[in-house]
Amino acid sequence: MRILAIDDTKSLRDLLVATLKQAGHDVVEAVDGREGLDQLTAHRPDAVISDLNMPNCDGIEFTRSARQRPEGARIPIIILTTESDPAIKAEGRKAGATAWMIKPFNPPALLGFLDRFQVQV
Amino acid sequence: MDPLVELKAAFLEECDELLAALEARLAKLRDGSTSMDDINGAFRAIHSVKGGAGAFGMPALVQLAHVFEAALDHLRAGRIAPAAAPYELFLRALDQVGTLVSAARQGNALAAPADLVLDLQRVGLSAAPGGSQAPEAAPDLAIPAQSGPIQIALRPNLDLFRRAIDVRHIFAGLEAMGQLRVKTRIGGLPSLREINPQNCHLMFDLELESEATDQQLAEVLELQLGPDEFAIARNAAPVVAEPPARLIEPSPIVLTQSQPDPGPVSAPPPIPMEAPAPAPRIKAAAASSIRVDLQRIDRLMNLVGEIVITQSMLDQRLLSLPTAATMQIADGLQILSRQTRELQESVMAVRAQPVKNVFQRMPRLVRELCQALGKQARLQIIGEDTEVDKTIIEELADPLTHMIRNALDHGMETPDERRAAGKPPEGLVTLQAEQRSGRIVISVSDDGRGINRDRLLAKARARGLITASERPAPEEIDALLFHPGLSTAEAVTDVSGRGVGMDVVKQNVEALGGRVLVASEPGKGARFTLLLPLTLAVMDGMIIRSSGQRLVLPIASIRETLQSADTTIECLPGGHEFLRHRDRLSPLVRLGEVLNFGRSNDEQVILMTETDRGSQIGLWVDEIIGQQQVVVKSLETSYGAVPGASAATILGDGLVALIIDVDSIPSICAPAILALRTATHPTQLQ
Repeated sequence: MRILAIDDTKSLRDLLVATLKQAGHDVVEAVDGREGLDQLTAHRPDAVISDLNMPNCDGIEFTRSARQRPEGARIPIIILTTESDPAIKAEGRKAGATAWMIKPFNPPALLGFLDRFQVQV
Repeated sequence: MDPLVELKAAFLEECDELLAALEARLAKLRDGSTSMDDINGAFRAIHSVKGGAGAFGMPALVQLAHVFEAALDHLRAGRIAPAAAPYELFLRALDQVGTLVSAARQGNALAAPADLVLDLQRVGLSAAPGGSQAPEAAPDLAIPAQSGPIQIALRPNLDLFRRAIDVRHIFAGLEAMGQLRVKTRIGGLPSLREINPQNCHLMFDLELESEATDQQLAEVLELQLGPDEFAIARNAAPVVAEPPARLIEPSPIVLTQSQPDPGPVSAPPPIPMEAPAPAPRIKAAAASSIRVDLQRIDRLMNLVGEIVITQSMLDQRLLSLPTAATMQIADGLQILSRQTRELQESVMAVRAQPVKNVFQRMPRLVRELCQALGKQARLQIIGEDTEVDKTIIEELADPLTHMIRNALDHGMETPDERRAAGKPPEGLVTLQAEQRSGRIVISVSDDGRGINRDRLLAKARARGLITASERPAPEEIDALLFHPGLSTAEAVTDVSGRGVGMDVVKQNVEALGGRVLVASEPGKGARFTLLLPLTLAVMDGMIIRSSGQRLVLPIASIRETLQSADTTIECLPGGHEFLRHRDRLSPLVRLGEVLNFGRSNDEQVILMTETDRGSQIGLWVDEIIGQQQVVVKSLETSYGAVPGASAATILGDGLVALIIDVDSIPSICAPAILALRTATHPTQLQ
């Protein structure tokens, strides 16, 4: 799968990218939601994994904008964050987030979750 | 190296940047100039630290960052006014996070101090009673599993498809835990005419044969569903209280996982009929950047240096060939030379960083020193965007810290003293950086009492640094500050230490090829100035010959060149020679002679140089050979210090030439300068 990984913290993005690449995914990176939207249009990923808290355009704003675009309307958008506040999660769902994973992410769990999207049940 | 270790190291490095950013934001908070942007920025910074700490398994850091973040969140949510923010506590937390990060770097795992964690947790409790929740409210959902199938009711919201959720993925997640049976309820479906294909009207009742705990189940379900979208029950109890309107019997369609066509459940959300116009494409504002190991850049810089040498070698070889044959090659070499210069500048630009990185630590230093010393001062920063070579930046922090300490401890008066002197009680310390004629000039000035010359002189005499009969000029007294072991503070304070300081500053700065100057006006203040080279690797040099030696002078230090035949040279008793030029009398030095290469008596060219102190000295040399870029090679590391020379270089023919330290010439030819001073100001030394 081609996956867009969005995180403003370089080391965490690297960790995410490394995890995804090791599992054989094709990874596109972005440092914030704004760049994420550009990458979304340019690379048409099959799924997005995005951080929540970012400058310029955060994960929720990104999700909201992505859902407005044909290339972002139907793909899973997974928010990866340390926030566990139910209100923020609800806001994320309202914006159109497909899933909510709590950082620190557990690589096998994340990859396993992605696998579900890959294999048609 | 293990990629994870490498990533962790990168994260720790990133932490330093995040903490520096956080500190800058907090400083604004204290100043009262904070904006929502700063608060959000501070929150994000600590949030990123927390995220990384979790990813790299640093629980103490996660814990501390978490409570810190929760405390900042009160500020972000407006539950605490910025003015009421516990700034000191935040700083303590910042320091502690820094301590944990550096401990982690050394492979130690420290615990977060419990009292600090508690203090942070209390933030906002008093401000908004009941308005804040405990930061970590993770209820223990681990109910022991019971026998019998687990009942799960899924009541997705209408927007399920718009969230790109395919319920089959949720089923797959549950199926991994045991055998799953799925019943789909289509009773909620509106009539075909009214149906909106974008809405999810389906409901599901699941039965899972599994030993999974409620927590494990919740983990799968909460991943994608909200708390109002599912419920878990055991022992066949009614699964969920729900509005009866949605429960339309009869005969639910039963779908099991084995069925090849899941039918309506799988229907992917169609693309909206009226596709909304794509949002205007937003350009990424942040410039993209990469992190490069400094050693790689150094290697690049060295290579550029070698190219410069090779190129001058080619120039030299070309000269020995017949002109007709070399014309075209010479043109090419000209272009190569320009490109080499551009290459060098580009590499230098890569290494350049704004001094901001060091400067932004200083406001806090000033504030803490003021507290410790009972003084009042504010710090003014000018030119923090000035860019300097990274190596130099790193070495700047210590000297600047010393200089600011010095200014506050020795220079700045107490508020009472200031009032008595007719000054405002709050002093001003100015930290300024600028690029001037190929150098970086950084100064720390204060409007304090200035240097106490009488006391400094008395001390120097007491220690035998100066004889009783010597009458040094005011600037020379000031320069005594840089003498090891001299400090004007009456008592040793824990702030400025034991007279180590300014001499160390001088050493550090000189090791960087720079210089420290001091200027002081009694009662008005003092200014310490650091003059630093832009880069340490390559410079523009003028190659000259003097007493048979080829020497290199930095172009930046040469003001003009004169033919000695066109000038007036005067001679004072004692054989000291002077040049009268533009109505100014300047000492004239036969360069080869003062450097002990012997006297040539064939000097024909005078290079007028200007030293840091603004004094002019004429250097009398035999001839100018040419100008070129030279690669600076340290003398100390490969040979040993040579008086009058700052470094050496390799010329095109492969031979070594010394690079002259113009600023050191005055001290070498001090007798001549003294003779000039005696001759021109006979009264001053009486």
